[in-house]
Amino acid sequence: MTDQKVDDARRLAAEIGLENPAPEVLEQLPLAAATAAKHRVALKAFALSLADEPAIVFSVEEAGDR
Amino acid sequence: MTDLEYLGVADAARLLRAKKLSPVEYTRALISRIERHDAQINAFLRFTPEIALEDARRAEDEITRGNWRGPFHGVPYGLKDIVDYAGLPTTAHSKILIDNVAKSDAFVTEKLRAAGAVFMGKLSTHEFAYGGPCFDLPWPPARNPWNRDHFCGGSSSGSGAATAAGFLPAAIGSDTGGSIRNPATMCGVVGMKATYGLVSRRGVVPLAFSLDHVGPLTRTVRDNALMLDVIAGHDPLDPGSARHAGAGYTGGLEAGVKGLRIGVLRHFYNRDMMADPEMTAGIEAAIKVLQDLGAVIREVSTHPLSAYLACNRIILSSEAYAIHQTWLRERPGDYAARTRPRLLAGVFVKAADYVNANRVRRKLSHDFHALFEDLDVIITASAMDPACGIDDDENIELTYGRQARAPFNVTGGPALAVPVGFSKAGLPLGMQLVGKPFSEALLYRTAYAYEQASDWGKEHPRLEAAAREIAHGVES
Repeated sequence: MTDQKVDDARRLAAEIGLENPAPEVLEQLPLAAATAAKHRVALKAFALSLADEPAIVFSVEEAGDR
Repeated sequence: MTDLEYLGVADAARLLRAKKLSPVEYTRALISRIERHDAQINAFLRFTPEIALEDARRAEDEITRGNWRGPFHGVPYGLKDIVDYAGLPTTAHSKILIDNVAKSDAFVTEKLRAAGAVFMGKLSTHEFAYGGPCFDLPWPPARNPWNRDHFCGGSSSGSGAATAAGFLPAAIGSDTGGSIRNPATMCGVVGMKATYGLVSRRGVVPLAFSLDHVGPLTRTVRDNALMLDVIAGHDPLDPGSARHAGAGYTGGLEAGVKGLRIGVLRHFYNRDMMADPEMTAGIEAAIKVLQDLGAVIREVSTHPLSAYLACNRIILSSEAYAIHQTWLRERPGDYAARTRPRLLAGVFVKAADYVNANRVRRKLSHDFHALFEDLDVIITASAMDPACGIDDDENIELTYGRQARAPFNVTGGPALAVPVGFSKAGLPLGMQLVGKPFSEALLYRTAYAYEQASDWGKEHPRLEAAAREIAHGVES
C-alpha cells in the first residue's frame, strides 16, 4: 500500500470506530467498504413505506420461544 | 467395487435390509475409494475410517439380529466441518477454531446417529461457510471431481465434491446465501435448502442467524428426500426451529407432474443477470421435459434479482460481523485473505441498513409467496455459470455473486438444486426448483419426475483417469 492509501484506510477505520486495526485489516478495508456500499445502494432502490415493518419484530408472545 | 462406490442410499438400504450387502463391506469400499482419490479432491478435512468401521460393525450386528432401523442404517455419510460431532474438532475450515472440540453432537448428527448411519468424517468448507476457495488455510480447498482444476462451488464444497466423487452417497451441508445449492450445481448432485427452521441449526457454527439453513446433498432425488426425512423436525433448543414435524418426503415421489402448475422465473437469468448460454440451454431443456411430462408451464415475474441479493448480503454481512468482530480485531491474521474482506464488509453496514433490509425482506417474501396462490413450483437458475477454474481468482469473485439462490434464503421457502446436464467442457449444469414454505415434498416430486426422464444421474466423474494423468505428469 502507498502512504496515501494507508492514510485513507486509517481515516476509514477511524470513521467506523475501528481502533488500532491490524495491517491485514487496514489493507482490506477499502475493498470491504466498496462491497458494502454496492449492496447498500442496491437496497436503496427498493421503496419502503411507513407501514413496512421489518421481518424481525419483537413479540411478547414469541420472545425466546419462537 | 465400482458398484458400491456409486450405490445410492435407497438402493443400499434395500440390500442392507435384505442382508445382501454388509455395512462393513460397503464402508470398506468407500474407505478404499477415499484413500485412493481424495488426495486429488480434498473433500475431507478430517477422514475418520476408524469411527466409520466401528459404526458399520454396530450396524451389521444390529441388522443381522433383525433390528433394521431404517434407510440410513449402515449407510455412510459426512458432515460439513461446521457441524458438531461429539469429541471431534469443528474447525469451520479456519485457524480460528482449529482446537474447537465439540462437546456434543449437533441436532442433525444426533438424528443420523439414531438412524444408524455410518460417520465417515468432516468435510471441507469455505472458511466459516463464507470465504471461497483459499490456499492460505491449514487445509486445501476441495476441488471439482469432474475436473480438479475447477472450483467445486461452496461453501459446502467438500459435501458436494465427496458426493459427486462416489466417496459418500449423502452429506450434510449448510446454506446462508446458496451454499448447499452452489456445490450441488457445480458438482452435478442434488442439494436441498429446506424451509427455514425445518432442520435445526443447533450445534452448527453460525454464519448469519436469520438466513442459515442445514440440509442434504445426495446424488439422487430419492436419496435427498430420505436424508431430509431423517434430519427434519422441531428442536426446542434452536430458537429458529419451526413447529413442523417434517418427514414423509418420499411418499409422493412417483405421483408425476401431470397438471402441476410450474412457473418459470426467467428474468432472474435472462434479464436481471445473463446466464451463460449453456446454462440457459440446460434449464430450458429441463423445462421442456417437464412440459412433455404434462406440467403446465407459464412465465412469472417478481422483484429484480438485485433486490433479493442486496437484501441477503446486507443481513448476512451484519449478522456475520456481529459474530466475528472480536476475532477480526484480535486475530485478523488467522483468517484467509479471501474471507477477511467479506466479513469486514459488515462493519460498513449501518444499523439503519440492517433494519431496512429486514423491512425489504418482509415485502420480498410476501410478494414472492403470493406467486404460489396459483402455482405449485417455480423454476429458475441456481448458478449463472458452470464452475470456473479454482486458481482463477478474478472469475471466482465474479461468478460467486452470479447466482439466483440467495433470494430463497431471504424468503425462507424451500429450494432444490437439480442437475440438468453438462457443458461442452464436461462441467455440470443445474436448475433450481422453488416452492412455498414446507412444500419440500412437491419439489422432490417434480425433481424426481425430471430425473427419471433424464439420464444425467448415470454419469460419474472419471477419477481413475484423472489420477493416471496426474501420476503421468509427476513422472514426466
